[in-house]
Amino acid sequence: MLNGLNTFQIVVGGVVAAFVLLLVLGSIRNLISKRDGVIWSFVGLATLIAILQPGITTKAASALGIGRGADLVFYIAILLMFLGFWMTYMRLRHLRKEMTSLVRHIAILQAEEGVGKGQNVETSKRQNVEN
Amino acid sequence: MNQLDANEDISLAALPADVKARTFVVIPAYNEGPALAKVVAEVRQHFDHVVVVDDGSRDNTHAVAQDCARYVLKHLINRGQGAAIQTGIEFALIRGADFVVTFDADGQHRVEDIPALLAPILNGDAEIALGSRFLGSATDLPATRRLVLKAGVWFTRIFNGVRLTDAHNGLRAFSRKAAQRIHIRQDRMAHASEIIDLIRETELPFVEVPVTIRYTEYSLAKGQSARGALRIAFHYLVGKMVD
Repeated sequence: MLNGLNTFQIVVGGVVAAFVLLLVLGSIRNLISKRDGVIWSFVGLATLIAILQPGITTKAASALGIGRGADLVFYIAILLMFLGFWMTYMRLRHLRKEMTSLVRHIAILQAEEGVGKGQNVETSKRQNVEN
Repeated sequence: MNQLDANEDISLAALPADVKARTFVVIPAYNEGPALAKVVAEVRQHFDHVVVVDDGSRDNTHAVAQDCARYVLKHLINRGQGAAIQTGIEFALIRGADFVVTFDADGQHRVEDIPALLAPILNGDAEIALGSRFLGSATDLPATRRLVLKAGVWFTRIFNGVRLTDAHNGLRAFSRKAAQRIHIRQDRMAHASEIIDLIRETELPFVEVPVTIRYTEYSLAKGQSARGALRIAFHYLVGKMVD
């Protein structure tokens, strides 16, 4: 079955297939979000098809009015890169917000009261404010 | 939007003591060690409930705040001015504040301007009062900084759809009701534009009040350059799109 494939197809195709498998397993076990799993599995499968059937990219390209198959692959790669950056950026934003909530919560819990202006009643340096 | 008469005489002495006692002044501070003590001392002559939020400073801001402020809150990790203000407001609300004033730590604001901000809230004209340096006066404001601030005003006009004379002034007053409804999600500097958005969304009545900004070498160094302003605009627009 592998007779018709060249070395490139076997090596890179194998890596991409393994990647898709990891994504599917990851989504099933909730290691990654379902949405991410689906999106990147499709990308992986499309890549796999393009590797095993190189002619298909040229057909798709000419159907879209783009000259060569390689150009189409290049454009798609750039778009996917931006998608990847954007998703990472959004994740980062989310993490920052969570961190802020945590930092805020601790700040309010550990608020110090009455240490200023010598008007404090308590002498303890870190007197926690009861909510 | 109605603007308070600039000549209306509201002095600190005329402000009722019980109003002062129910007012919490929130001062966000990030590496403000050199200026903070004087600022807090000035404010505390009139308002006892001074809340300093040390936003993860690396200098002696926390120690200085402990020496002079009534309440000291510490962000263990720097989260930005918007986050620090929100923390201070939440704390003030927990402690039963009826009025919350936000005040900069770098010495550019005057405690004398606070009564004028509280007045429209007290007499029921507004829930939020925003300080405006262009209605009032800004002493020693360099031309480039004026340009950046005016650009900010236009930015606000275009993207927030609110006409203000000064969109990026840290001196503001909120009624308890307004403070409860305004939740700042822009952790960094874009909170100023975000607050304007929140005012519009919540439809809380607001006024702009003339205030005097004292520009010093110190406060200017702490302010925003044109490049910083562009970064803030980016954060604001991304936040508007995805939040």
